[in-house]
Amino acid sequence: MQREVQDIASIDRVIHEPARLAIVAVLSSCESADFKGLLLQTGLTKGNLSAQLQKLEEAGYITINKSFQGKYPLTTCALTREGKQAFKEYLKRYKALSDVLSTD
Amino acid sequence: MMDVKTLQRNTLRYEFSDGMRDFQSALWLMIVGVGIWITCDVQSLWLAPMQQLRASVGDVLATIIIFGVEFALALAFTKGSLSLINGYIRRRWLWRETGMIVAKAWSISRFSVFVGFVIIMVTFWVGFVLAQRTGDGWSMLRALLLGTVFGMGYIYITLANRLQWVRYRVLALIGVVGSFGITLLPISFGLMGLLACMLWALLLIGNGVYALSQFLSMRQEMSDAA
Repeated sequence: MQREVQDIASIDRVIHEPARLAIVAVLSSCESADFKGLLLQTGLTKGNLSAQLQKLEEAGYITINKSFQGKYPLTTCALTREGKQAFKEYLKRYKALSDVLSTD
Repeated sequence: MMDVKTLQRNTLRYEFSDGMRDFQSALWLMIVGVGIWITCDVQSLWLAPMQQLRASVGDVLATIIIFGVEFALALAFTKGSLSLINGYIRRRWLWRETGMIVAKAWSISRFSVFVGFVIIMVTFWVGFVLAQRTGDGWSMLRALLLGTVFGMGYIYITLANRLQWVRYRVLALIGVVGSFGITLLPISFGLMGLLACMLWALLLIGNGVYALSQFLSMRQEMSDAA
């Protein structure tokens, strides 16, 4: 059981939070997405999305590029190499853990 | 756990949700169809300049130049049309309200494209063997066309499975059956290629129009809700 406890503890908490997991899942399936695109796909509120993006950027999992399209601000996000690796690792660990828990 | 797969699938679907990729492929197929027809049936258009080129640079170099130009044109068309779609049509009009999501370079998996290519080669090889046995050169050309059609059908079926969209399955099925019927017609290879390409192009345009209408009504609902 100790091993499973260790596995739970080793789950990436930055990605494990549902809103951030949704953002990372969307970004893992595309090259990049802008703020509106992420709002549409994840169904998060503007404030929540903005806060979670900042946390992911601080963790080094995404890059946020701010520019202007005409008069309007344009925020584009993409997964970094570390972000891709962390998401892959997270899915692997989560699956292994859920396999263990479902057999017990 | 959150349904990560659904989120990923919806993101992949977005690239094909407005029909633009279908219109792009349709236009591409129309150009290829006309190209096949001109190459096979309207030789008066290109034979004289080709002979001139051969006489001046030699057979090998002339062939390399022709294939090089064709490849460069194909690449320019693909890149150019995609940047027109993403940079202008989508960013400024279609996706202005719903957001811009740039798809990965390989929206259709590399493995599917590879298997599609293998299908083309295998069918062509069967046609080649048949042509050798029966002395009918037509079976080879028909097999090349059929192989390409089977390969395309396979790619669209895998895309349909990946996105879980029935419309691409229907497109692949009608495309393969219709093209098979075209290869049975007593017409020249050039015309056969042209008709098959036009059939696929029409199917893709129909598919694209359906997708675009769905997308526009979804966008309307979103702006009404806002």
